[in-house]
Amino acid sequence: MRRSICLAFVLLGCLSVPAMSQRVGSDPPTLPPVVVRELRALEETYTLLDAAADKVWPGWTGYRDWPFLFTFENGLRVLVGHPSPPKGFELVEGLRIGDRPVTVERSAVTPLPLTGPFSAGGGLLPYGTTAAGTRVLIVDIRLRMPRPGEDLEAAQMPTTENKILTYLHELFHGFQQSFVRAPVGNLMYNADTDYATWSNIEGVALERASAEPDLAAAGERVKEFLVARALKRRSMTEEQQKEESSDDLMEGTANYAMVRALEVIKAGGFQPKLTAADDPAYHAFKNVDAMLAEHRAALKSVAARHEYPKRKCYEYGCFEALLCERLFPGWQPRVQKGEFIDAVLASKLAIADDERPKIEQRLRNDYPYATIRADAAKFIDARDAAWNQLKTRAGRTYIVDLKRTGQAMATLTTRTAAPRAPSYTLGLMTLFPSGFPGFTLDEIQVSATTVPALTDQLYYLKVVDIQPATRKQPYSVTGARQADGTWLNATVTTPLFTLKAPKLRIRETGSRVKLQVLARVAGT
Amino acid sequence: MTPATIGFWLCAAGLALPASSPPSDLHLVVESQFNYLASVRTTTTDMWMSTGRRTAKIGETITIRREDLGIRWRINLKAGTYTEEKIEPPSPPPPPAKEDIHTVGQNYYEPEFDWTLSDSGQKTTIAGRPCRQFLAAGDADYAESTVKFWVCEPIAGITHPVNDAVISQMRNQSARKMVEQATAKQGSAWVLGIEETQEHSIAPTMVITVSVKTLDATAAPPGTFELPANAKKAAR
Repeated sequence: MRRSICLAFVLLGCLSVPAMSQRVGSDPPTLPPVVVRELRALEETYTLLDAAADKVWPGWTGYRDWPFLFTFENGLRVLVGHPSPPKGFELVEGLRIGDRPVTVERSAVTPLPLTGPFSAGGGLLPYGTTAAGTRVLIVDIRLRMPRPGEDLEAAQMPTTENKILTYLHELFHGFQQSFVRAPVGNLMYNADTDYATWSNIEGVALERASAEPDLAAAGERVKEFLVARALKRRSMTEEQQKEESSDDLMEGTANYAMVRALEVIKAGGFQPKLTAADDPAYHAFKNVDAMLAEHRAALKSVAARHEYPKRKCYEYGCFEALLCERLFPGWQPRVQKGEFIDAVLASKLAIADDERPKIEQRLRNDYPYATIRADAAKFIDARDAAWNQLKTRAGRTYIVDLKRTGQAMATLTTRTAAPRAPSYTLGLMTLFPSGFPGFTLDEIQVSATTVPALTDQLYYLKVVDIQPATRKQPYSVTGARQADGTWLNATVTTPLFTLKAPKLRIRETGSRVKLQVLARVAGT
Repeated sequence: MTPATIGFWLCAAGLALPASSPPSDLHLVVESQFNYLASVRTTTTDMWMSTGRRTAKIGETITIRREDLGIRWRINLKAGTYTEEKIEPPSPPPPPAKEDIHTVGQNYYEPEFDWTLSDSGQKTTIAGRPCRQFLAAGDADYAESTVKFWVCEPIAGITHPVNDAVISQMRNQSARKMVEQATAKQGSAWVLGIEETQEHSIAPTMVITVSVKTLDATAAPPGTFELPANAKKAAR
């Protein structure tokens, strides 16, 4: 029955398509138009790369060879071009993307309606093997429907153009595999006041260098960037410095590829194939100037954000690469031979020993050093106070676990456009010293807490009750208890917050109460 | 059920012991599988154990550990080369690190699980030996683990570290420690099979299976614990 309803919606071309039904026996799989439309964005990415790849980065080929796995919020998984689709994937007859077959896996599909529009994010991932048993690397894309009230950055807006650039970004990571022989680990580092100050000034220097029309003057601003970077790195180990430069290289050149593709489009070097009739959310990059401006705005914006140093590698690395291209054309082979981008800049713009203190003086005088330092100190002090407050809380621990929903916990609270509770990022944690603000996600609701709380490991909220002895019971629960111990339409009331979920499991171990949310909508 | 029950069961089961003393060498083949992200990686380790001497062959690589000489050789059969290193005594655990704000919250999440152990009552035969299954459920703030393991009575007179060879292939340190403790308390139980399911905080589910395929108390062929005659020392 549900299958029939689903097909009826598809045939009517409704915008709101109920999810593909749960496992539907031997029915041949079909895809709703809203899903097929998403796949067409990948096809348009290939069209763009056919026109632009070699201009984006000399010698970039092989982008059509990468399999893509798209995972929708309802659990639907669509695999494009995998040489040997893993067990459970079924061929979608008559549909090819980039002249490659499409398979679909429906075993975990829930009734969550896929309405779109979708924003996309992803990365490279090993997934399955070839028939001969060789591991297959794929581009793993998660498609998410932003909720009303979310405050998204421009690049996260669910436009088809943004998705095409996201796919291009990930495909560039695929290309990097051909020349990054000894990958360095990701930077995992929290800022202190010195780091935050000089990191911000680095960004201002890059911004000034990029805006400088005179090449020699731009080179001087790049030297300022390099000196600010050296000052910033005094608290880092050699390994951490390498990790940071590596992040700039890996993410920065992938962002650089996006900007270079936009420049090719702006210069008229791309003929779109996808039309607005195929995809009403696609405007064939008519807003290319605004998209290029967004990258410059993003550099300014991230430079001033102290909470998450790693996030800066996308823009800093991108602008380092753009400056290389402008000042030292033909720089790419050096990177392909193993040099970091900042090292290429440093070797081309050698700074004499007696020049360095003068540049540092310029950074303190000609840049808003004092203002930036005061702002950084205020943020870092507040963050550290929040951590000191949270880490000492002991008692009964409540964990709300969203892993099975695939929804990151902190995203639900920090993206809201409404006035935000103060929060601070520390590693993978987000600290809420004056209480967690709560959220609603489909049929899941978590109320606000009045006590400090934190989110950690992407999917988890942790709240500690420091007075458990004063409570009659750790929690109460209403709903329909199932034979397997799970609850349907459950409401769990704790002394610190209330959780409502369409499907839930409660695990109690010692002084821990773990509330595992198993579904976002009823009927799963 | 507590780990003490394992010992009780082993005694109560009255497993038959060989009548005569077996040779002191032990040959075992262990197969482990790592199931993750729609792929399965299988590793087969062919091992010999003797007093103070051990070898392990995986593919084209053999590791020979000679406690009597205080050295370990790693031999690359394909290249015909080997490296040699001293066996260092286990280093004491490092003192707890002082908190550094630069790395707080950044470390890989390696949970210390709270374990609940029970006897499933299921029996099976592994590598020709009767085994009984135990179940353990582990819970931590941001992760869960379940471990099924099968234990048997050791071959009389054999004291080689069979459990090291099997348990070391587990993924999670806390799970490894739990199985070690559960069996060590009994003095002599051997673990011949493990199925470890890790629901990591962020990564998708991982399933690790370890199974002893062959277990023979028999004399090792001559040269088993020696360098191949034509192997050349490789530069390190």
